[in-house]
Amino acid sequence: MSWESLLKPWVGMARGHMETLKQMVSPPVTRMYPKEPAQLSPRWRGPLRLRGVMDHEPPPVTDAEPLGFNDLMTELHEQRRIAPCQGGCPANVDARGQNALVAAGRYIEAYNLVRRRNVLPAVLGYVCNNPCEDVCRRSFLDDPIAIRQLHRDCYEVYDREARFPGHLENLVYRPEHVAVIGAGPAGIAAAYDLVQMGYRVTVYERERLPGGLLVTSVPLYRLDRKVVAQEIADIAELGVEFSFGVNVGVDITLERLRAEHDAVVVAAGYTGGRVLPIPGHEAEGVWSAIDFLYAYCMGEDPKVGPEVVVIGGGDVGCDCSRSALRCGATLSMQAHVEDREGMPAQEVEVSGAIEEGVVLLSEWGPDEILVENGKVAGIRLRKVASRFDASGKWDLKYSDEVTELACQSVIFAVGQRLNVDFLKGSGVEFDAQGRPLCDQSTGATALDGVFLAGDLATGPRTIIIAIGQAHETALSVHRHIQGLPLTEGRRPPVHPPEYYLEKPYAPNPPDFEHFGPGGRRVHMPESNPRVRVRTGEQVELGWPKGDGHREAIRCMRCQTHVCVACTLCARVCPDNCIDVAGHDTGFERRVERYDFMMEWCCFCGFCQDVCPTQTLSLAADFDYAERERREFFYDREKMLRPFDKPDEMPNKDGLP
Amino acid sequence: MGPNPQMPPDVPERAVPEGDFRAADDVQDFLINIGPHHPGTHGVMRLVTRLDDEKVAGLDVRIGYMHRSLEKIVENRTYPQVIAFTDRTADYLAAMHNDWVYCLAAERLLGISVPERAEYLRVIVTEINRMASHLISIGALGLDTGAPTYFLWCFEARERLVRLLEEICGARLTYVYLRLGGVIYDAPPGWFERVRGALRSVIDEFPSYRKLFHDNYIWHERSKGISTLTPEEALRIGAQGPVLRSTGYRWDLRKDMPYSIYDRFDFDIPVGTTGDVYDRTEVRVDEMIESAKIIQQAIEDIPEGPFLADRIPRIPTPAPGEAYARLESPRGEIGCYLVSDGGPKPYRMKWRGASFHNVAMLPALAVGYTLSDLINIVGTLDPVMGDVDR
Amino acid sequence: MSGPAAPPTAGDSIVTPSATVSPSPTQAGKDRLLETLRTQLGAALIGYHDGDDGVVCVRVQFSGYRHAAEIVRAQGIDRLDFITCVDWRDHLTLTLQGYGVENRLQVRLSTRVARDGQEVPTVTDLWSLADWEERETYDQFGLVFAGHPDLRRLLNPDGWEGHPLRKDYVDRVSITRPQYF
Repeated sequence: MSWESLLKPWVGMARGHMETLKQMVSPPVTRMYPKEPAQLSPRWRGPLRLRGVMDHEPPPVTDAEPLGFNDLMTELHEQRRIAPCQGGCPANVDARGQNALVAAGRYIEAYNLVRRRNVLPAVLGYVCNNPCEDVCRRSFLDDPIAIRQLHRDCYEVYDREARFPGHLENLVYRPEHVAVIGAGPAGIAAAYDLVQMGYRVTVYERERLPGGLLVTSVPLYRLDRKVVAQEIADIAELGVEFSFGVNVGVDITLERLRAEHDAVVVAAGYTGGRVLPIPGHEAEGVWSAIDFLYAYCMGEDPKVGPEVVVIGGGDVGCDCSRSALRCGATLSMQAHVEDREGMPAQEVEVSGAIEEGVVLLSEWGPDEILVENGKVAGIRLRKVASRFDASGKWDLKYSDEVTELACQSVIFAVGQRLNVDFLKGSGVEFDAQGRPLCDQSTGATALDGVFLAGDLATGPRTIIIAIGQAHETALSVHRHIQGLPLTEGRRPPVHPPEYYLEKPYAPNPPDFEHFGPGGRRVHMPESNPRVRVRTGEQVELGWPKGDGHREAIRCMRCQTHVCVACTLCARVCPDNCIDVAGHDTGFERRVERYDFMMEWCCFCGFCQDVCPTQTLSLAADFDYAERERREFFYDREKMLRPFDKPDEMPNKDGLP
Repeated sequence: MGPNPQMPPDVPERAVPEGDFRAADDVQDFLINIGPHHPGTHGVMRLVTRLDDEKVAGLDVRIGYMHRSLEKIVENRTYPQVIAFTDRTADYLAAMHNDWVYCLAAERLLGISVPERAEYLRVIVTEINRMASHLISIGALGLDTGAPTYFLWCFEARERLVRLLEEICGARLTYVYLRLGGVIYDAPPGWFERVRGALRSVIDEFPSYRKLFHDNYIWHERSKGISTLTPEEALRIGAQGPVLRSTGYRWDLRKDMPYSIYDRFDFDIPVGTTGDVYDRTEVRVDEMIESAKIIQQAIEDIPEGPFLADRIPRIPTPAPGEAYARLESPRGEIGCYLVSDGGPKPYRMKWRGASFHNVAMLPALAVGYTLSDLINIVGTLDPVMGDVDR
Repeated sequence: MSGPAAPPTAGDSIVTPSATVSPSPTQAGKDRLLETLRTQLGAALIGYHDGDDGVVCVRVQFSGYRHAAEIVRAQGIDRLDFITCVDWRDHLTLTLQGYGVENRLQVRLSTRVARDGQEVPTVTDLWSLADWEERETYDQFGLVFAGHPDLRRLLNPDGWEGHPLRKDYVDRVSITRPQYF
């Protein structure tokens, strides 16, 4: 035992006493705790609460005049009240409002609501590519709502019971005169908006009938021409003048149009066909898709041979291959460089084509057209080796494998070409590819008073994108005529991405029938594929009476801040502490029961995140004390308990 | 741990002998039962201790008092729902780490990539959580050795960090903040500034804590030379985390097998020299300062952008396969092994808890030291019984 | 251990692998491991592939499990991640995973075990952490490890009926609410 070890405890003790003495002479240090009053975070997860339940709620409708629509959307977006379908639609069609009105039996109001933004509801009900259904939150449960088919169903009731063209709510008549070139969907949409604003509008159309590509390119089996004529006739009744058979640039110059009108909207679209410059492409029997469909749709017999090869895997390619069968072809083949899954066409189009007997040649590209006596005798196809390079970019490579097919007609569905020679030399600027340049958000060109609308402004896209763009162009025209700045003080269209980003959903759970309120999607009956090829009847036959109502009732009314008993919260709850039962048959729809076992809740917040209507919130309230255990069972009335300070109860985004 | 020669293999479940506490053959040895409810065990753990004149001669660790069968629960939940269980059924003092390791494994299984901003947010909240966890760990040591003031000080400092987490995710202990493919909320406005301020205040105050506890003579007496460990021995018994680093062995998964974006940050791995109780505490204190460094860098570098990957299915169904992810939690390495059979629920999840392995090596650390040291040694292992029993 | 070990002098026995490892030890270690497995196990080696995150997944016959574990341990896999089972209803898959601190090589060793009546040789002498891992596997799956020094239940109490993580285990306290998915 050394001296150090003997001394060590004593030294330590002395040090300790010194510390104690120091503490005694120095003033005491008091720590206040907590230093500042407790403030709960706005994201605090407290007991679950419902903002409201569905109980005689008025249908949530987003309706405003063209001039005020973007303002209304912005306001609703700030309150988080835009449904994903409406935000996902390029034209902001209020599908949620349509469904709610149809569920209440108010079909005609629903039709007029849709026409606000989608000026040809029934036409789009036939041919739209329905981006709204892609983002529909109902997909999480089973299938998306049939929004597109509901447009058509509304029209059928409207057509049957109340053929009423609507009326102009805005009774301001303005003396200015606007010319619209092209009576396609974009031109009609711009004209409709402008006439609602009170302007005089004249639509110049090259063809003898209105509709643009709706009548010249969309095949007859997809769209009933009577519907196009009637919907456009309704718009004409509002006061839009149509001038048919006027080919701008030939019959009348752009300068004259500009001089006679206060503004010119060019909505001429992509009307030229495109043919790949491979050997033999000038032979007789080679068609571009536009020319072929024009001939088919306008009643000129395209005279295709018994064997037809269509090049291209898009929607137009499917249109061509299916139309060829109706023009007398016995064998219609569709060659495309993509594989079956990667085809850009909609799945319903491809499967319809296969049902009708179209033969798909996947991963084959055109190599040469074999010509005999100036006529097509066959085509040599080359197998695709790879479509993407290492970094995932599109980089088509062909292999050495070739095959030769005998055919009498080749249709190229490989894109469209511009046909706007009348704009050349007028002052409108063009880019390197020969496309007219315009401001993407307003449609304004370098030439004063000339605006582009539809495909000309956006490039060849879908019909609904063209209509959405035309609404913006109409606003620009109004601002130009009124001498307002084009962009300043103007609200852009609202497409909130955060509502509909959860795009692909789970596959349908196998036993969901017990839970899904309203049942599965009501499918629209289709005609027999073997028969319809011969008779040329419509593919989609329309719902019998009542089916539309059954379908509309399935809508989950996203972002309406009332519970609609969709049971999503009960499904995602990891503790099974929520039980919801809804009653939604017939014309009634309400929340029967909402049971919440507060003592099982783990405050994970999954239910709050998944709630489609944003009605569930974990309230910022942390007093969980109750007198009895059974009071932790929250029923519907207790879930609806009012907050003490409703102003301080924002949702997770800090918004009311 | 290996076979335990000091312990008779047939210790009965209720090991406290009735009547005479002394073993029959040796008057020097007797059995002492600590726990399951004892403040020194930091939870419900039972230590059946054989004493040889105040020295621990043998130790049998009995666990399972808080067993909730996380792995069985998970087999009945969908992949996103599991996050609610990993952060409360496993190591609840470092819930962010649990969520993250589960998300890493599940994202690997599902092939989900995480946006940059989410990675940075994950790093920031996880390091804040690490600091909060370490503060409890060293504070509880003060409680074990009779310095409750220090415990309260540490809790007060932790409170400032927990406030930050509350602000970003709305919960103080069981944050279900991470999601597959990112995080659920972005940082609220001004949050990064408040993080900086809170970190600065905690780090600046630490010298006074050191003065109160770490430089205290009593603490030195209770900790220095207790349960020393060499690096070779530490590796043999499977030591990990701060226990391994306190021996001087520089091993940290964040540096040595970097996951997420940890290779972008400049930070040190604090190590000790002797691996005793004192060093283990010091390593934890230094690690907090390093965590603060990482957070500072992350806040400076954090990019704008989405914080949650889009197109994540609500009920993802991965292809059949398996995935494992590990990360460095405050207590060592935690891991999550997921097996999928192609269904919407994990077919099997194996949770590798850090505390589980720490407690497993407790006999190797404690045998040979006094009973009062045993409490300190348990404290430095920082066991969270939720992670041990799962 | 019979008392406090003498503290090592500073800088003397401290190993710093970060400073000494060669640039890519993983690939060399992986090649060496697979070569050794091929030559020594022979037909007992069923196959191997690269798993997630560069894990070398090795599948062996049940008879070669102990030998494979010895080879893996001898190739520097000194850190044990876990030992566990997966119940595939007609058989169990015993999986062992570890990595090496020197070569950063991650190895997952798996073998097929019958649900009943097959005793697995223990690996507790190779990794000391395997003690509790094997006890837990025994507890949850009922897999008996021959040669384990102290094979008792770990998480469930002694006398518990059944092995909970088996797929056919029926719990008396079951889910009381409808399961949506």
